[in-house]
Amino acid sequence: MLLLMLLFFVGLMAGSRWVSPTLLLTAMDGSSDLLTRITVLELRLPRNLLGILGGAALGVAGAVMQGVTRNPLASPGLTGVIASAALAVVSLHTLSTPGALWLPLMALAGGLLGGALTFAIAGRRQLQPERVVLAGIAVTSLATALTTGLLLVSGAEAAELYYWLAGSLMGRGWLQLQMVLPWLLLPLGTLFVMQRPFRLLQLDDDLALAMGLAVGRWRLIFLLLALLLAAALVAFTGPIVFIGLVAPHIARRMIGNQIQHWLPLSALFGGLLLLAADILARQLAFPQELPVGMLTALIGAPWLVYLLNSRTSPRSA
Amino acid sequence: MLRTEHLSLAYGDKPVVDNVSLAIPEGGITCLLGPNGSGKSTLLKSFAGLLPARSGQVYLDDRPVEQWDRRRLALRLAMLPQKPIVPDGIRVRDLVALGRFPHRKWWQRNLTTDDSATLNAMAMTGVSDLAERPVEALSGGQQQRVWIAMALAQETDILLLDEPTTFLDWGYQLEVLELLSTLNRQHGLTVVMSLHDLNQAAQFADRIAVLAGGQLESIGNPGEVITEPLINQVFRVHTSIITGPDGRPFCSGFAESFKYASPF
Amino acid sequence: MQIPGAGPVARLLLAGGLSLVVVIVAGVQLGAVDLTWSQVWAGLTGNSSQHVQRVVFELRLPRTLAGALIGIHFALSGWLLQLLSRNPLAEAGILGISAGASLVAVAAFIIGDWIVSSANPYNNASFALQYLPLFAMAGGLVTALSVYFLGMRHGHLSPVKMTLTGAVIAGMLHALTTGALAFWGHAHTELVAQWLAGSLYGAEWQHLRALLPWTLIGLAGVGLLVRPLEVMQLDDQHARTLGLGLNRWRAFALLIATLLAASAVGVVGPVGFIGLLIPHISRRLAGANLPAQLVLCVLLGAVLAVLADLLGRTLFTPYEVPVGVVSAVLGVPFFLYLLSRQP
Repeated sequence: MLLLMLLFFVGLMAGSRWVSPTLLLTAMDGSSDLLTRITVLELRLPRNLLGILGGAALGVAGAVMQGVTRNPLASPGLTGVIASAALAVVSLHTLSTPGALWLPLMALAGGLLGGALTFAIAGRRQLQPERVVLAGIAVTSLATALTTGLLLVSGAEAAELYYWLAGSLMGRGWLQLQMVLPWLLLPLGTLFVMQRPFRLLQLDDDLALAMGLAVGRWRLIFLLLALLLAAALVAFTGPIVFIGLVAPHIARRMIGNQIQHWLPLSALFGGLLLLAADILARQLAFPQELPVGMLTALIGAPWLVYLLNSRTSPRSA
Repeated sequence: MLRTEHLSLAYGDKPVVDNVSLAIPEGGITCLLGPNGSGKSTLLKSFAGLLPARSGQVYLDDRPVEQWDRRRLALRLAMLPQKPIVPDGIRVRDLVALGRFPHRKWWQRNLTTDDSATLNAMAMTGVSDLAERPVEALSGGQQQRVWIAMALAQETDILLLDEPTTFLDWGYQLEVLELLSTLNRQHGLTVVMSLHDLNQAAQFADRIAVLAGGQLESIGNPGEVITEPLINQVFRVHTSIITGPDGRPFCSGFAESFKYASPF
Repeated sequence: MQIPGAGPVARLLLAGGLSLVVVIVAGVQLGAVDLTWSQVWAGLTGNSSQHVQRVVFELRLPRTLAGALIGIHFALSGWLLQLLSRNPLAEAGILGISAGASLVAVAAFIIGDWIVSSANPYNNASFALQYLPLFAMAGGLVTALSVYFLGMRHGHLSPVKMTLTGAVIAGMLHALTTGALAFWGHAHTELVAQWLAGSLYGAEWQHLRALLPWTLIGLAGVGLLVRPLEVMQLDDQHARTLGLGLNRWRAFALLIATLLAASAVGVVGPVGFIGLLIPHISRRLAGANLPAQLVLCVLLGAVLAVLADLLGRTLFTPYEVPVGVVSAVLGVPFFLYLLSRQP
């Protein structure tokens, strides 16, 4: 928690113009110059908040998917959800000029389609972890191919869209935060209320059924909520992968036996990771900005590979 | 022929076989017995040169198995693993023909010698009339016979089998064991296999090696090895043993005050 | 081992061969300007007008043939990788090899372009052509090697682990490529975008020349691999007890698969789904007969690629839909159909 607060302040300070702590304070109580005030309050603050919230959303989405499918490799990225949501958004952009409300809706539709496709391909009854991931990869490839194709049609806008596709928090201010907030908070809130079914679902299917849980229905609800979280975020920031996969794992390492902390901790670590990545993105190529998606990929992937190496994975034929 | 000297095997840090020395008699059927985790499979794999020794050695013809060229090794011993993978849609004939691999390298098969070996192998195992059928469609017993045919097509003196009967129905189990017995008697094939069923081992083996916790507890012919105290010690089962008309022991057991302690 | 010569298999191969010829001819004939057979023939034999000559020789023919070649590359690569990783959902794109090839190619392009354009603005194109396949291959090889080694468990290659690792690496590389492009590639986004979608646009004889040696090497490698591959279908222990130097052959198979995929990526950009689909189809058609599968992959791969390019060119004139997109669009429903029939 402490780390988060610290990062938050650093985030406020970092960027194309360094703002020292004292200046920060002056900005807060309104006594600084206009530029600083704008930088801190209009740009950095909402951006950081978005980073934390978005990261939390991704972390939770990932945790939910992993818990509900009992698949440690499930995540919005690896199940094709993020890629399809991105595809939906890009198609919207290229084929028309979208109103702001449509974005998350389209993203959601896209993500839904992609996720459904993945699970359909993986085979309904089995849902073996590896098969789901493999199917997700196939769906992701498809979505990416289509997206790339669409970019060709977009002509002049392509450069912009490319940047968006790399995933970034640049220029996301209060407006975006406000728009995305309901989409993120609502599912998050709902999920926190639904902790008990969530915990039950992580047990064996038959066991949960015996305890009176309508397994199929609940699983669907949870997956939909996770989808909503991820897709909504993608609509505003572009695809950011790996956080949904890594944050829950880190959280799991820390909770030991207390499963009830898993979701909140995933949220925490998700927010932490994204914020940290964003700060790095802002600083590393000073004074320009790297796309955040690039950094999460750079950090996330090696970590994942390490993960694959350290665990003894379940056997499949 | 095939023997081990003070052989110890391990997976990573986990020791699985500890200081085992035994010799496999040529031309006989040897059976490895023991509870789960006693190291039977591991020992078999080391015979086939699939697992390097932690200490000690496995010798084939007085040369350490690790020094054998893999292809030459494949010409001397064949192994049938526990759960072999059936390539999709492959026919019996083609699967058996795969056993000829060590006899040729990259160029096309020599049609006559290889084909006749394949046909021969199928005849010996009685699967000739199944030749054109897909292996997946066969019964458990038939599939096992096909695998044995493939090993026979390899034309080796020694055949290693890792729990060849464990997943089969009783009838098929006997079918396979009787086939192995025939192959041993009529063709001099040396058979080494791991089994779960004591009575089957008693019935079909010339020599039995009992393993527990990675160590060799007893070795000898069935009558010597299958005794009440040994079975009690290794399997934690009380038995009463009778001697059948062929001189081989038959035991029925009951788990009175059964406490299964893991051999680890 | 079956020698493909009897019955249904031979018929299939014949059908495949014929389709290939048909498709190639169609590829030369049709397009933004449709030609008649006589014109094509005249063009080939040198008896026609300058214009037709140009269209046939400098546009259509090289492009169609290039399409056929990359179809072969990707199909064979996918076939090898699926056998190697025991995973019917594997292919070069999925294992990250295409992504690695793309990344290095894009990077090389950006860097090279920056270097070259500082010197002479007109050299861009030729730089790209000659060296891109090499860079792409380097990228693909490095990725393949990493995936191979990271896919090991207990010192032996674990197919499942390899696939998963490949997927993770592919994701990372793709994000990096997009990021690199977004960040540094401003001036050339359109061109690179075209390439990244997998496109035969502007394919000329020099592309073919760059590609062909790799086709031949790949085919030779695959030929060598057929018998070991048959044995590799069995489980690892079994294969070893049959005398197969498993690790060595697996490495070789991976190498050939990578060479094939990466060289194609270097010339045309990443084209997915051909490597995923064609092996499936040829397996269904040829059964367990590996040599037949091989030949079918070659034929059908070429057919699909040429067909996809043809459709991309003709369906939405004057727009051109790149091969990569068409193959993806064609691929998915078919793929779903195939998978729904799997247990």
